Amino acid sequence: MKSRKVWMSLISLGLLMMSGCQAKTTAQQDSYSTLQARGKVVVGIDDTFAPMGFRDENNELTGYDIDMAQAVSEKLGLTFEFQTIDWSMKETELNAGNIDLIWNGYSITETRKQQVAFSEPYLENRQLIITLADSAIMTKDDLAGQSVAVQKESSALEAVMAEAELAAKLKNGAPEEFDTNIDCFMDLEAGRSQAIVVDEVLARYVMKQRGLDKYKVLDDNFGTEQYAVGMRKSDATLLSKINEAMQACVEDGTQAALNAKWFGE
Amino acid sequence: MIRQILPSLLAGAGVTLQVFALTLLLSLPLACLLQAFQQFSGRLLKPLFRGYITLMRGTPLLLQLMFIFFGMPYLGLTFSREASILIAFTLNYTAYFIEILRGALGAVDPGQAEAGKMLGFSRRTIYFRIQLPQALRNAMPAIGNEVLNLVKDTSLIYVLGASELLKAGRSAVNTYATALPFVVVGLLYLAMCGGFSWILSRIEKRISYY
Amino acid sequence: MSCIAEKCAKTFGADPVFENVSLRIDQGEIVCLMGPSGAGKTTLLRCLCGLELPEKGTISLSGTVLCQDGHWCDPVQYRQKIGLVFQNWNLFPHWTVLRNLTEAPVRLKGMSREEAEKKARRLLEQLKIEQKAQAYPNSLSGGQKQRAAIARACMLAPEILCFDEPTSALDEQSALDVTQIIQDLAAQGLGILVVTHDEQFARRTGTRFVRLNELQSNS
Repeated sequence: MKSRKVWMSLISLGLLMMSGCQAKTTAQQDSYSTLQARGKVVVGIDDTFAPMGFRDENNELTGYDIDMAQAVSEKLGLTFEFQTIDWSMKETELNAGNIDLIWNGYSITETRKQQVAFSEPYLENRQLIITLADSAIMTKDDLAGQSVAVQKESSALEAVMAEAELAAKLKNGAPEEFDTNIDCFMDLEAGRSQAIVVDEVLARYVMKQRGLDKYKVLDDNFGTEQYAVGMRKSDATLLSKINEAMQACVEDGTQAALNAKWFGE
Repeated sequence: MIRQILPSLLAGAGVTLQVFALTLLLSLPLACLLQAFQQFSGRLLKPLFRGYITLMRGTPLLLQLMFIFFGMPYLGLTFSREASILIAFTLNYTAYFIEILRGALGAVDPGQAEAGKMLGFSRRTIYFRIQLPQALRNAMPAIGNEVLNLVKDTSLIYVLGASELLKAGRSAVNTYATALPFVVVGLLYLAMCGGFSWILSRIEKRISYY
Repeated sequence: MSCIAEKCAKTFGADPVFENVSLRIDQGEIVCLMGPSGAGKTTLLRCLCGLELPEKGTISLSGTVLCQDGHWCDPVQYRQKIGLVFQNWNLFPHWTVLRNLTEAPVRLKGMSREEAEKKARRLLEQLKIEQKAQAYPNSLSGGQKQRAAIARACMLAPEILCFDEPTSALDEQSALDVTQIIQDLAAQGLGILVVTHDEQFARRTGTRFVRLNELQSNS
């Protein structure tokens, strides 16, 4: 796992450098007319992210973001085609032109802003700190010396690392990184990690599945962030069209209906 | 619960089997051919073969997958996800099979080739009709190992977003927030590998007629 | 119809195996090349069969030149006229005895499979192993393998047939049988060259006896 991660970072870095060297590609131009001519937009999603995007018992894609994207696609008059991708490769896939949108509980962060253009946010999300119900950890400061699990390449990881002083005080000087958020939950239950930092949206869904009384959510958190849709920086037209369509979804109550359906709010 | 997760896991197993079967069908014959070229080629081509084999065996398959899909477009070659997977796996496994064959051919008595030569057989006939059949028999245990490795290596295609068995399992683990799908995934892999082991042992028995 | 080697020399690295060797094998004669092992007998045999290239000299068979002063001339044509029974026979283990015999004539001489099998069975019968036609070589005894190998070489109707240490892996009775087989073949008009260190076998089988050092001329 470790070596795979090293290779992954190396190749991502290499590819980023290669993409930086590129003077002119289709990826650098506004592609809206191309997308219109093609009649479809490819949406990159990670189908391991319930409740935003996952597969139901019939192996069909479903989730809050899938529904949301469908609504936006109808407003735009463009067909959306969903392409499952490996989450750690999402920006590479986007800039290589393999996908046109990243839409899967994609949090706005400073680092990501360097690489992609974000739509207006459509959902608020906090980075919760979760422990087992009987844990002695009560505040952020109690995390010092403890093992804390987060999903790798996630905004939760970025949020923790942003508080460098605290991150350095964790056991091993940094959070433990796992492939998926469920791995973090399982590590917590196995007693190897004493706390985990997870997106609220996902955390609430998981805790409901596994039993709410097993866990404790701390009052402290690692900040609030917002979910938005990511696209290539060159796609200014697509960006404004999507913002318009999402605004329309808010105004006609579509989004409220989705919130009710998936979060019961 | 099992009934809920099974359809997606079986679909994943289908993808895994597809990649497995296509790779095997392409790479083993290709290895037999390329090994022939390597044997007959002069000094000029040999370093090329060695370079190819060193590259394929000396870098992770995961990296090769990513390079072909994400890297090749920058060199002007764009492949679809499916093609990238097939190209990377075939190139990689062909290299391993070539090395296995090279060893197995070395273990075939050189007298066999000389006997063929005395009877007037061409080099091609000697290779394909006399040396290769004997080498393949000697190589069966090693080939069998690679076949089982291939089943498990298919799990790497997740990096191109393909929903193979392990990815489908992780997806189900996330959706239902339980580790049970991993158990099912393990059992499915075990069933596949068990099946292939059985087939391999049948083939081995079948070709051990002499 | 005779095989002629003239003033051949072969070295391995810096060591000469033999120099200035000349040898002639005529139709119907059984030449026994004798001497202790390691003297270069087998190397000379391999040169005569076109499996090794001597650095000097000429080898030819009834007008077809195999090699001349370290260059191949017409080895494919040449090898069709000469057969070799290897010391360890080198039968193809994955083919039946019958297929060992028929594959070359069918593939290279354009013989039909039927015709080839008929001829093969006749040969096997002459050599008294017709019951082993469908057997695989590994199930045969040493003597039977020897006969199968002789039959395989005879399928292509060579003018000269060479034997490398034919008795080294055989019991007394089988060795006696081999003498008979070789003499029968010579009587049919083949030229035979036998490389052996088995003096007794050579004495009772051969019509002419030579040692490697006797073949070297000083000119």
